[in-house]
Amino acid sequence: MHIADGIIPNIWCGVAHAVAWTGVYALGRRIETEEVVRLGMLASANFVVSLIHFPLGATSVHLGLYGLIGILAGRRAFPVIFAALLLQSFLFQHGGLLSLGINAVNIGGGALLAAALWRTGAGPESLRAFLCGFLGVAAPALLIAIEFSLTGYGKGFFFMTALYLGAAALEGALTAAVVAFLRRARPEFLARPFAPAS
Amino acid sequence: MTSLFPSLDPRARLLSVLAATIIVASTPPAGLLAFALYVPLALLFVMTGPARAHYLAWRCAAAAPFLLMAGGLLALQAALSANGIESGAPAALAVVGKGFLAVLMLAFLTATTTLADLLWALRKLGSPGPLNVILGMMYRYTNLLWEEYARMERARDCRTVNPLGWRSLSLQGHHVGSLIVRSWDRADRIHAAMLSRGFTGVWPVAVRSRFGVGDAMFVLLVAALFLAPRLLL
Repeated sequence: MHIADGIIPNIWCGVAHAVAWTGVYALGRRIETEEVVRLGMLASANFVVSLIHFPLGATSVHLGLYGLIGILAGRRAFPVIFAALLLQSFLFQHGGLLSLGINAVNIGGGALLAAALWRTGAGPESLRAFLCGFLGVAAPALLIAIEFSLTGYGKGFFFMTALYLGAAALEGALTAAVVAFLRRARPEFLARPFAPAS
Repeated sequence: MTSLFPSLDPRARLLSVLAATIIVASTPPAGLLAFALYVPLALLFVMTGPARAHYLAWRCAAAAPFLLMAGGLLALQAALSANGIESGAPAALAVVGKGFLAVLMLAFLTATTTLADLLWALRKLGSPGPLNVILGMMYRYTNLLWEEYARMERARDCRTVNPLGWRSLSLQGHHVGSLIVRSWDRADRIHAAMLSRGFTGVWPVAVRSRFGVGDAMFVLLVAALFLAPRLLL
């Protein structure tokens, strides 16, 4: 899901960096100290979950749970995902410094969509949670396919996106399971953004 | 020579890698000859620090599937077009070359610079306060949470006689939920401890090193060396 450096033209990377840094500043504004510490721990927990691989046929997939971050962190999901991507590029060279902006826009955009869907409160909670998890993977995959298509790679990545739908369904199911657990164990987590208690 | 890069200010190390990556990535496919010089330049660059060759090779190999797929897509796109694959081959090679060189230099940076130094460099270069705190928390607590998750997994395995198959998905959801609850509770304790030490929402930035003339010269030299093939060939 991470675009490596050198794949997308520099001008695209520059614009995406500008959008991403603006997003980090704008969506991280007026943040309270208690909230930022919780967000840091949420980012760490997400990072740990992303290291867990699930067997899928002859291969395995790892989770991102970007939709879940959208549910729990609301609009603050964007800085959290930006931080996670930056650390992944440093530690594992997943993505890169140039493509960090475009990766953040793709994946952070998916998380923000999930956050918006969650806030609507429409439909049964388990279905909404599933769709949030699904959207957290499917939306970035679709954005990558569109970007590849617009930068001269043709429509080949749309087929890859179709493969990602399986992983998106897995993420959706897991997100629904996590939300069901939190509803039973700590419902206050789902009632408001990842903000300090008043 | 292998002690040159680690002796630089972390900001100079980060900026030099960023400059080289931007220049390499901005090379048009028509300038394919420039890559013949980028490769020895990049190798010379990684010789300025004590990075292990097999580590760098392993990191490049890990990035290979995505890079080769991107190059393959470009070549395929050209083959399907009226111009034929000949027109797409340079573009595909350029993309693969840019990708590998970028991974090589980033892997070199992280092999020779501690994460704490990189995060310090980002703070000194003016990254936003909340981002710094989130990164700092991730740096400090990811290992702890990983151990916590591993303990939960061991406990589950001890209590599970048969493999659960797809039923384990719901159980994994509960584990992830538990991890989030535990990390939330831990965050509140950490926050209280941080407040007691005078935390105001901004990570304090200690003076570790100074960005001197030598650091600036190194960044400029790296940029000039990588820019020369880009401009001349």
